[in-house]
Amino acid sequence: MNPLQSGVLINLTHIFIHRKKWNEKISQVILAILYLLIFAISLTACAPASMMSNWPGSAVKDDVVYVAYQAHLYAIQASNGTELWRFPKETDNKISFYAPPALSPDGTQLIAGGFNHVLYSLDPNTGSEQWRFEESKYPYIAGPLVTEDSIYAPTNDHLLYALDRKGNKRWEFKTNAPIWATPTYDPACKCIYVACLDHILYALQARDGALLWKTERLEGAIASSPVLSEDGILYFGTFGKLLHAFDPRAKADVWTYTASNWIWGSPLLVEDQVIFSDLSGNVIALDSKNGAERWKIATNAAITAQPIVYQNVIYIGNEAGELYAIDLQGNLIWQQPKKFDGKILTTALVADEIILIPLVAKDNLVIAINQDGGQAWAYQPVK
Amino acid sequence: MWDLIIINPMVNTLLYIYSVIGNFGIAIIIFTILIRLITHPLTVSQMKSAQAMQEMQKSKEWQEIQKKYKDDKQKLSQEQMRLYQEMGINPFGSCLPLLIQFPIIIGLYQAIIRALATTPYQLLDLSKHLYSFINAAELIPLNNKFLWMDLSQPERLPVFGIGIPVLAIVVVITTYLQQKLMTPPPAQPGDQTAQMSQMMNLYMPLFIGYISYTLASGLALYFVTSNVVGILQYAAMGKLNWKNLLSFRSQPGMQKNIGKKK
Repeated sequence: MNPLQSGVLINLTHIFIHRKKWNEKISQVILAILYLLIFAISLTACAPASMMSNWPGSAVKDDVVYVAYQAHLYAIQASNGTELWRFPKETDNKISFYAPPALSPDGTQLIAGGFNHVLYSLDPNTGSEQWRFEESKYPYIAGPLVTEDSIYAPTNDHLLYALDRKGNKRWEFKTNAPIWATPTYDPACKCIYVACLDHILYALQARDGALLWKTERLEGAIASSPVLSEDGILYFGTFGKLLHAFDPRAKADVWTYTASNWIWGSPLLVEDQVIFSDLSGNVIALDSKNGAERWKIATNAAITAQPIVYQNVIYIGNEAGELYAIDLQGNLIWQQPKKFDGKILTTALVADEIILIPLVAKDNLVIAINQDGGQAWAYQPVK
Repeated sequence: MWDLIIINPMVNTLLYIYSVIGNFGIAIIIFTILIRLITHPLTVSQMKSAQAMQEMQKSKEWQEIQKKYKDDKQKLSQEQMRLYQEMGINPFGSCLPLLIQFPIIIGLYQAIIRALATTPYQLLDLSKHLYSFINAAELIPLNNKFLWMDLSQPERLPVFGIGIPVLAIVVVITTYLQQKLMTPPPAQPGDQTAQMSQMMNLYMPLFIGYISYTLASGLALYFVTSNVVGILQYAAMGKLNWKNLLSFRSQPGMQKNIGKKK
């Protein structure tokens, strides 16, 4: 008996047993269960809701949006919010999905990494399983990169797996920390760039995973994918508050910009601007050539998602559930942000001329809005 | 409020220790010892109150009123309260320090889980609880490896291809030892409190062991450290009940008493 129970036992049990004359054995068992329950509930009662969970991962192809969240991967008709299929069909307590799924370039495979350490290949039309890869010992957080002939799947076990399109492993590459960013393919060097939480950006030969080069340990972890510009410059942010414009040929920064907080989401390249956000809720636009600040908008909560652009309007949401529409000059298009009952932590998508917002919310998983901010539909998974 | 008063200071202290030590397993051990030392006066106070209560329950006067008013519960309660007052014992005296310790123990568990942050959502949550003196950008990701364990995962030691939950077993053993060694001899061996005590001695290690088997091993490391420190604290005060360690059977008086009641 440790100090946690002895005092309670002496006092509370004493009071309890003198009040009612219960059958001894029954009352003992009930009391024992009660104490254990109180202890168990207390351990978890004030635990963060985020425990062993994550925000939704999503992808879009033509008029179908795929959303990975909790027990299922959902395929939803973008035009009206109808659920087309879900995987698995029945809830299995051992299976959950949060990593963004990825479609193969020919549209015949949907690759999705599970929290159950399994990478699945599904038929995008029906959700039926084509194959599974079960070598990882840790969950998939990042979405895979799928090319014509390969799948590059990063995991939380510090490994990047390269598979052929049939799910056979070709090679693996070990880093020093989990990988939360989808690798970026560079056709110029036929290589992939892997941003890692170990503060390092790696360049690997796509064919065999040979290390071409890596940066020195940077000022912070890299949680999102580098974005490659047409002129071959990589743009990425770190938890060390720096946005890097990095030339992979020179293996050196062209310029850096210091934000006021961690940079989580990938930047967006539009025309000659690099647009990105930080955890203080700032949306910042820089000149892509020299890093000079063009404009900056402060929102009310942390931003983890990548901004998107559709018909020259930038859309970005924050943790407070606010969606902002901004023109390329940094002017707010809506006077007030569109407010949703939930958190926007995932990058928005565009399909069928509507903006799709995956949410972390009690009820709705995806909200579809028109360009004027009006709601087109809301999708709430049926339990 | 809970985060502000309990969780945030704990998370930041834990991370500060980690930033100095560079090993999260050792940081958990040091942090647990630190918390147990800070709450040591409460442990002492709680133990003394419990002991005073037990002494009183062994007293002749207490035994007499139990017999005298065994059929009048209301009167019995009144007499017991009178005796508490006369002997200057607060019947909840051993509960109060315990109640103060309870949120600290819960907070400690949550601080460890929060600091381990193995998903983006958890890390985003953690980022809001960090003080400015913690250089989080440099620290993250934390090195979760300790000995053969990944502190963010349930622990298994592979032996001939079979994963043995060594730490969970150690948790069960140390929890059992702690309970046995720290349980004072019952004032009235046959009463329900003593029986409950025995039952908890059995259930609690299994329950804590199950938690350790299924949840992150960082938590199991905390349980082991906390148990060992608890035993050492009681040993330092000379209050370990070694006789209790090898007594697996109900005490004779207990059976007799149960028989009588039936």
